[in-house]
Amino acid sequence: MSIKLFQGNTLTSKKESNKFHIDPYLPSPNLVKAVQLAQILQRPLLIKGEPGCGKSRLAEAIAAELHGKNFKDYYFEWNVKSTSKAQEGLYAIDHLKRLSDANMKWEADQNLEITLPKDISGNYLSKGNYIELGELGKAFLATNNLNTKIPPVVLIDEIDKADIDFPNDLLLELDRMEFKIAEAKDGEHGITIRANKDLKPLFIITSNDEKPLPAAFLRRCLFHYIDFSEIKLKEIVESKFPELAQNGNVIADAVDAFKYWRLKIEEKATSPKNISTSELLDWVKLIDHYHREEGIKFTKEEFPPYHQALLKDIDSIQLFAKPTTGPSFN
Amino acid sequence: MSQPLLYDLYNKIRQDQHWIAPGMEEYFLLFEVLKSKEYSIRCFDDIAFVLETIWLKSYDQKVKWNKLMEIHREEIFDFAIGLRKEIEDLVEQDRISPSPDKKTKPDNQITNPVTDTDKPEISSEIQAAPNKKPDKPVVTPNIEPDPYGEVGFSFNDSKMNDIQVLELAKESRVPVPLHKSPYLFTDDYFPVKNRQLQQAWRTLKNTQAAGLSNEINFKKTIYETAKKGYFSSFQFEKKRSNQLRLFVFIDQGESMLAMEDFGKELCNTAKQSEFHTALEPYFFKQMPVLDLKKNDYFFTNENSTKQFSLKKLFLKLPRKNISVLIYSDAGALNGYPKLEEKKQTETFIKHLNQVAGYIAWINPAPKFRWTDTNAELIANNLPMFETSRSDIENAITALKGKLTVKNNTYVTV
Repeated sequence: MSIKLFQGNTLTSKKESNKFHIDPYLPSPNLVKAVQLAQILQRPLLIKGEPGCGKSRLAEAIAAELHGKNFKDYYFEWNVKSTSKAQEGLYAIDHLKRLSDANMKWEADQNLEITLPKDISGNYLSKGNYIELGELGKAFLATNNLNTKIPPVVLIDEIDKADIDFPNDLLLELDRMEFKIAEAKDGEHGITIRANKDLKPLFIITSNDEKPLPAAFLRRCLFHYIDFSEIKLKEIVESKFPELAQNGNVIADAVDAFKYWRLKIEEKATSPKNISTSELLDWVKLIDHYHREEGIKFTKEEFPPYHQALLKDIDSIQLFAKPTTGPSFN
Repeated sequence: MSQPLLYDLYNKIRQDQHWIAPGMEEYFLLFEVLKSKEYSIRCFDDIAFVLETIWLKSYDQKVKWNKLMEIHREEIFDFAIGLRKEIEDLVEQDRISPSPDKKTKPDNQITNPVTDTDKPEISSEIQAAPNKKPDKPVVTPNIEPDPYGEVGFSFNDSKMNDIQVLELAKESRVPVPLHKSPYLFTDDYFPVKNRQLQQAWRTLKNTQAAGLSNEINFKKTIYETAKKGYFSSFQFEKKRSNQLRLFVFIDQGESMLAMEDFGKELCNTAKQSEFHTALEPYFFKQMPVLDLKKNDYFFTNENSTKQFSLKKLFLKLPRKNISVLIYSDAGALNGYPKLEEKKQTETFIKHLNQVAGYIAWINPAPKFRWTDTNAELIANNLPMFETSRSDIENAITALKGKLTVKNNTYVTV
């Protein structure tokens, strides 16, 4: 069976991306290849890279390209928190509501059972009595949708925020593509949510390396590091600010200056976090807001205008500040 | 004897304890990619990229990986050339597409097996059981800069010129992320990984209920509700928290210079674990400073700008709640006994035994170096361990009071 592979060429302009109500996304050729490998091998893709380099937006871009305008039906986003448990991705039961209902007992025939109804084609729905499936559970259900032959896309964002055993707790479900809901009943039997094994969801997992991930989990993943040098900065900015792009060399100058400032911060190691794509976009947004018509002249040797969007700590500000032209911190 | 394709490279990665060893399944992933009609493999870089994506699991290993790619360049070339030969043979045999015309086709481009839809898949022999090495080409493949920007295959046996060498050096340079600079600090070279340490520290706790009863006990609440037949109120209990206080003393003596970082890693991982978030390490040089008048020992902070008295550190803490981990070579790295230190060591251990509930010693020197040094003396009186994973787990067991030394042997309590 041939696979529709991600090409990364759908969201290249604002006009195109507006059709999906999302921002443009221009992945590097290597990132596209890594996604293609994950699709072919049906393995989760672990993405690392500097904060703000576009890790979290990748999954949405893949879903938009593969599934078209209705991609939201096939895109599932699980934002992991420090308190997240693996089971939350599968399902959650509202115990307190059930307890409260049991206590009230206003109606004799009130259904206190935890149940998950089915649709007309016999597939479970994602929400039932006292129970709601998590993003993984919803993605498993989406694979049984007869309207598509393209796997859904699941983003597990910042997996390193959770406890160090969190990834290991997901291994069984990711391998088997099914899980049981012990608390729920479907007639006499328990409920098992199964994914269509021919349509295994594409998992994009991001990590900021705050905590080391277990070997067993890493072994199952493909790995790609988004190298900043591969990011197409000018094209990204131009796609996001097409009106400003019409105004001479403003974007080219801005990107050049940005690269210079970034290199300076890296050389001097003034900050634990260097400026990245997200800072550049915020900064150009300000330039676009104030100078779209008349443009702006600046040089990389000068103190950056609208530095508030770029320089996030005092050491980086001091690095570029000149006593005669900029604010002094001495 | 023939060996599986890319065997040397695969084996090297598997044998290096600092890599996450790819299993057999990961080995065969490469062939699954080759089997795929959709994915285009045209040059050395394409194969290197696939190998990197499926076998490399950390950016910290990228420098090492690039070196491996250089070392095994020829092996990967052999693999790629064998692959091309296989495809060309199949093309010719099956006559699905016209055989490649060697006169008109440039030799430095590998045939693209996937973009030409009418070409067959790679043979099942290569896909499923890579136990046969392809025939070696007569000439050693070399790399030439491709005028079209891609590194292609060349059968030119001339040596690389300076520009090519420079290009290769540039390619193999990995930009270091800012948070790693100015010094590259990874746990690649530590005997026990960060994650393994974190998991080990998790077990060091002594939780007891304390304070106000303001935690909901769900089990008891449900039990009471079921008993009464209706819910009346939540059942509360006291919060359980860890009562065990961990103290880590790190030796900053000259012999410990290269070993100190692992001691700090021990502390960092203990801090990252759930129960010792407030842990701060204390330092000493060879021996903690003894104040005879006060009958107290003194430690410092890392930069020796502050001094801490042992009495004050342990103040108001019950002895049974104090666990002390000492990280020092105890003279084992010097390899000879120091009589002066021997007496001081004996006194210090005696003192520590009186004030701390549980003590463990981690020695970065291997056990065979302990003989005839102070380390041997200490190991007879205190549980002392090497820096292997199992030894660190044992040290933590000792810090819980479940392992001690009796008659020179370790005994589980």
